[in-house]
Amino acid sequence: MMRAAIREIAYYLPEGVVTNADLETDFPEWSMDKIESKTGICSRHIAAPGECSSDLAVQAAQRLFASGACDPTGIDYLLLCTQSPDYFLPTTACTLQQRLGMRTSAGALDFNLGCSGYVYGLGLAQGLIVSGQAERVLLVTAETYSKFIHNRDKSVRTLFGDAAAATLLAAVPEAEGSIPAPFVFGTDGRGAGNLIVPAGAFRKPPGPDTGRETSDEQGNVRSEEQLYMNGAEIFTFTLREIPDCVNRLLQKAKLTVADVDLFVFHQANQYMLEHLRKKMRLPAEKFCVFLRDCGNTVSSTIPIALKEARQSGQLQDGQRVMLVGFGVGYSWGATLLRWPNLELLASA
Amino acid sequence: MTTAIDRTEFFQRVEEVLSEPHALDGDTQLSTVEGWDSLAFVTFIAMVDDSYGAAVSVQELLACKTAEDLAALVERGRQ
Repeated sequence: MMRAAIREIAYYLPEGVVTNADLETDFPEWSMDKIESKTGICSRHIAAPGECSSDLAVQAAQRLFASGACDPTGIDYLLLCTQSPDYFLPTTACTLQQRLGMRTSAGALDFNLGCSGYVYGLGLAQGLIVSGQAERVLLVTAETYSKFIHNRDKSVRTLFGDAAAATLLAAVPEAEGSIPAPFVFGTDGRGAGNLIVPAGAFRKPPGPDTGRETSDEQGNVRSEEQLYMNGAEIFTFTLREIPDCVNRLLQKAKLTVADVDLFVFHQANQYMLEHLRKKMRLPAEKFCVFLRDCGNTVSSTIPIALKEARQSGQLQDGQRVMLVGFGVGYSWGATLLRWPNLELLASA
Repeated sequence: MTTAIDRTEFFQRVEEVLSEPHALDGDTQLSTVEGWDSLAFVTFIAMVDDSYGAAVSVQELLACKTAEDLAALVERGRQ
């Protein structure tokens, strides 16, 4: 049986940038220093009007192809994770087949997840490869949350940045005694209302009422067609679920924290990450943080952090890496890989 | 097992959570506290998790009217 390995990661950030100085101009009650100390973010990249998730996806995929890792015709299956698609239908991944120059004999689908999406995408890709349905899977995460965000809503505008990342996964021969990478997942629909765009689809179709802007107690402005986040609830959810999720994965793999070389969590904001890290007693030198110049890019934070850790030398061949994604849904998941292979030797 | 927490120490910790300096005691009305905003809620939740091992729900947090209500909430959260 074949196993799955990550062959290459590339990412793309749109050209537009919103700095903390820009935000201080828009929200005089907040200082640049306060924004940085509370989020760890200095700037975010924002897609231009008319620049869609699919456009970012094309850029990221073309960078991956330009690296020489693979030709578009070598892709058997495209998985696109996005919550800001081009259309209700058709599937954005199908339009990408044509734009990227992939074979018409390739499979393609979208899946709608946010900050947990990369881990779920790796799980799906591993399933496709291990079951022999595909040899080369292109997993693309692409998001333009900025299009859901009101300019006067600092609760989300400070955090989120637009981005796309492309990850190539390929079948590799099974090493003796190797097992597919372990995954743990979690879902709790009770949290749906705490990170949501309430209107615009069919539960609440767009209309004069849903487009009306209102101001909340903190002075943040938004309509029901825009992104609402209850930050305190999301934080409480991560404190409740993520330590348990990490422990479940370690137990499943019969490992301890000391056996893991690098932890790459969804880069939500640095304050939350630091609190989680300390709560779980994870050593700072094994904990990846990369969001200063791109913000929270939703499903792309983990591949961006992996790519940067690779380039900085923090992530080395053969290291055991834990990936943990969590957020909107609520949805969460975690996996372990022995870089770059999505597998752990049973004897390890 | 007692879950009572030291009030003086607790109110000091809550003061550190606020971005604006504000002296607190049990009778302080939270609605009059300048820095008691959504960012402070997140910092408060982190502080009580860290210092008291307490999990508090956001709904209950929002229902607190005085600083003493917060202390009682944390005590309940430790059980």
